[in-house]
Amino acid sequence: MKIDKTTIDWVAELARINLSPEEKREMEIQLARILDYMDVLNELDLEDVEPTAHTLGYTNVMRKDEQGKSFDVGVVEKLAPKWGNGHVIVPRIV
Amino acid sequence: MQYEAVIGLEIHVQINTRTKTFCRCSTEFGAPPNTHTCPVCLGLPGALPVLNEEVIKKGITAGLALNCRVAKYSIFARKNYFYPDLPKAYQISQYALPINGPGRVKLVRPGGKEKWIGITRAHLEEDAGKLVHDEAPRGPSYVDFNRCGVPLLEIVTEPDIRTPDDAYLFLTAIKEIMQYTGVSECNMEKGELRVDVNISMREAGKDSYGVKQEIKNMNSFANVKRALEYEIKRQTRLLRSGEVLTQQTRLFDPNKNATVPMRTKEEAHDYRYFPDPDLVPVVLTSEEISMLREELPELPDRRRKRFVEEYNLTEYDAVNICSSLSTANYFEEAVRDYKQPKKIANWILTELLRYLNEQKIDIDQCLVTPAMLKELFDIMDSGVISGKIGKDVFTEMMSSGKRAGAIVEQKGLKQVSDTGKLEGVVDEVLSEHGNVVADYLGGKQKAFGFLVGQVMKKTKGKANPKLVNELLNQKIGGSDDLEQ
Amino acid sequence: MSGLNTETIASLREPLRKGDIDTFDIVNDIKRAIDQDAQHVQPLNAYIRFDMDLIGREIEESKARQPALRDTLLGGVPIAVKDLINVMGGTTTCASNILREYVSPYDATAVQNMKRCGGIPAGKLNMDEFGRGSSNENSAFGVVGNPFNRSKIPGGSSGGAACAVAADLAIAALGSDTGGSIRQPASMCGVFGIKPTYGRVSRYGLVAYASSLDQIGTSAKTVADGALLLEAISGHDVCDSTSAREAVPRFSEYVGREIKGLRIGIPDEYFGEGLDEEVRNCIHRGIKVLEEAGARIRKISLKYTRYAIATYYIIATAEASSNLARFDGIRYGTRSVETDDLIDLYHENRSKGFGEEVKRRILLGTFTLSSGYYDAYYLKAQKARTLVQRDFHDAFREVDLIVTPVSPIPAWDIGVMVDDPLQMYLADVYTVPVNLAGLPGASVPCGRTADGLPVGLQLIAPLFREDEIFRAASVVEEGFDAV
Repeated sequence: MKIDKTTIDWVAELARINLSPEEKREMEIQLARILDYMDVLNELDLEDVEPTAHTLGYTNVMRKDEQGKSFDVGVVEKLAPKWGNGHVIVPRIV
Repeated sequence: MQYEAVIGLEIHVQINTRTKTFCRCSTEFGAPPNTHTCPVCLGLPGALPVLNEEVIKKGITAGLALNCRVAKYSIFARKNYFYPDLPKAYQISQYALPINGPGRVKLVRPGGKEKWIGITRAHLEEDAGKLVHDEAPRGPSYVDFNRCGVPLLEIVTEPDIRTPDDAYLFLTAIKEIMQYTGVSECNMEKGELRVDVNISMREAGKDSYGVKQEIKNMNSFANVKRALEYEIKRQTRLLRSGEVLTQQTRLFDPNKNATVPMRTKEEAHDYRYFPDPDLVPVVLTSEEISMLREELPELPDRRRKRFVEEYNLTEYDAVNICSSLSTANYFEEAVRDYKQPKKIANWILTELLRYLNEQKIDIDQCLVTPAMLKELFDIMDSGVISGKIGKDVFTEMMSSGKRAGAIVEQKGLKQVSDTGKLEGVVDEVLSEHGNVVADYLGGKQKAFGFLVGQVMKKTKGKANPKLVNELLNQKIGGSDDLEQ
Repeated sequence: MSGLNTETIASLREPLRKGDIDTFDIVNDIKRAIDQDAQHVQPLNAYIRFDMDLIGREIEESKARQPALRDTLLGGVPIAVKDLINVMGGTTTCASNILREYVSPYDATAVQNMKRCGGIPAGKLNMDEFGRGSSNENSAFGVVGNPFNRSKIPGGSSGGAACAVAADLAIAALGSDTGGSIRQPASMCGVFGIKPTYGRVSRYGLVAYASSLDQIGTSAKTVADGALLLEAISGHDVCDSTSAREAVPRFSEYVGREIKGLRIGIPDEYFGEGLDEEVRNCIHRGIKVLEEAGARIRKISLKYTRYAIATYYIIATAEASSNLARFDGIRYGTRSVETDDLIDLYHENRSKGFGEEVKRRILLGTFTLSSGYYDAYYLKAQKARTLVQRDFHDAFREVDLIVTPVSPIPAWDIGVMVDDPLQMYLADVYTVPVNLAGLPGASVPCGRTADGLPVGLQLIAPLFREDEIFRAASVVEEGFDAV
């Protein structure tokens, strides 16, 4: 069984997503079907094939260590759902 | 049953660049919170990273100085996890193909044998933001994203360290190397160096590994040593009583000088590393790596050796002077103009360092330049002031930045070497302390010193001690082995 | 008297330049058309936001900019933008609840380029949430309809873009394409849509779905418009490490050029079973048009086609799961719950903020990257990708262009495939290989089904050879205009 309830629970936890029991059941079925379909790749002989991470094959893209413009703190404040004392506020980290 | 400690360190060094790893925000320390941010380091939707070339350069330089094998092909990977100080919910780090492979660092133990500590790898990654907690125990936490994206070099050692002292020495060695190469100042108070330790205990002489305990939250080298000392005691005690240890993460509590278990439940992490598709590989040629190797400045080990050979310093002095790049530079600059290295070394290691420690400042903030030091020494050498007065003048120089000559003039500290004047004072002392003279003549050697002291007191320390000795000797005769 | 909203970039440039009309006039006509559509019993719902104030400000700013509007490529024409692309000052919702109120503090580079060329961003277009979907049914702002039949889907994820352009609710649009998201809706709505070579247009400011596959592209009423707009937004960007350094040709100059001797390949694998008969007929008619214009048609084989969907979905969902992790309601976006527990905060915000399909893809991607599965899925897919890319490169030694259908079936009914995600993934079979190989691909209208539903013909060119696409596309366009 490629993907079972325990796996769904674990993956949902990793992704920080809540699923209702019905959603979990549905995901289990759908994801299992999708993963079964992915098995088609097992037909391929990939022994001597290099993985492609970038289609253009560029390397060494870098920039100089020169300062650019940063946001005014007001911009960060405006974006933050909760703000105080110049900081973004989050629930207490133990 | 004898147990031995098996210790490994994980060190994060903040690389000294003007801008962050993947964006052009400033890395300057101490800025008001959330003033050095942009779409990239804030992890706004649509933002993309672009690598800072200085980060690669310094990363490789550090690796070469750590004797690492520099990778000709390395990539950045995403380390995925959720935490409020991590805007993208992944840290751009290196996993399968780090820039620096295995290397090693030499431990120089004072008066002891050298030891090499293996480095497993040293890779590049970006720092997370800073979390501050509200004073109220149930209050919220606050995030400052200034630090987000600042470049780090993560150095992982092999579990080759066996004692807390060696751990301390290792950290010192790393700090020296990073300073000398300009990679980082490694100021722990500024967060430029952070360290976590792994320690397990095993039966002495065995090959197997015991159960690892990870210790966090040590904010000084001394605390690292204390934490390890405590852990060794604690683990040994548990093992001797037959307990089985479980893998744990513990925090060092500086108030108790002990480690305590971390209270939060450590979740199992699955970082799901994969190559970051927004960045392309870093590819280096042998020539490029060689060129960087050639550009390496003189490293601590070589400099120490050279100081011993060239300046005839003791190994002890060389180790201490070279433990800070600024101090070593200061020393060499002073010696250039005043060619008595031993004397300079001595003075630096006693008078200068003492003042710096008391005032809690660095040698870089010291108001006395090597040139000013030379002037002071010249004045002392010429006999204008005594060595003791010289120390006082030095303290004044350090606090005011005034030159030695000016201070001596202003305070009228010139040594009194006028035989006539001094003779008068000596006569005074002798007449006032007749009983002490009698003691001395009766065989009490120490009484001579008292009399010298009295002359110094009357002349406010300015009497030429040598002359005082001579005069006293003349008048009341006796031994020559006197201290000033 | 039809409004200015029915015009094209090409037809509006002169009047704008001469001062006979103003951008405001065009925008007003567009707004009128949008309002009119909203009265319909089944509105098309192409826009998430059409903010007249913001657009007004953009117009004012454009007039103060240099070079003067009349001297720019686009001359002051309003262009609608898919709501996955950041336009400063307005919301970029990605059709998601989690970014419902998120106001962009910066412009995407493509938008900056467009502005510099005289294009005015006007309106944010509806789409499948975060670009995930092929039907525009996965939006927190409602379903988008197909202008040719409102009970049918317009395609996705740039459904709003194709729909708006087709229904004259926009002059032209910027969209994005990861696995066919511009081409497929363009095909279903009868407009021209192009996904350029990977790296041709900067991704800085495009909310990332699958970083190694995403590209911004254009949807337009004519091939000429599509070319002009693509030219305006293309170019190397220092803010995007994957941005191409190739010089940008004057694409519009290739529109209308002849194609005598152009070698066109027709891959067997794209014409097998599963391809709707009517679609097949339309494509064949399109191929005929090309042949009659002098192109040399031959059969080729792209033997790794059958592995493309699996390859694509593994890579795309893996990258997406990581790209979407930043949406947690902490620094920006919707924080939908007040809680003392941090883990709770993450869970609540993300669960309430994301739609079903997005959640599904996040879970799939998280799974395939997780410990123990990386080699079996992600790594394997990256290797398979090499084979798919090689397939195309080998083919391009024999031919200059490849022609295929865009979608195996015409627009389907709204609601009919939402419960079968795998079915919907399989409908991307003709478009995803192009993204895997990083090649440029476009859809050009190629006739209708008996029911009047549009069919698009796909043109695929070698890396950086969009010029050949424009040449051939305009021939097809001309051939079908006569119909």
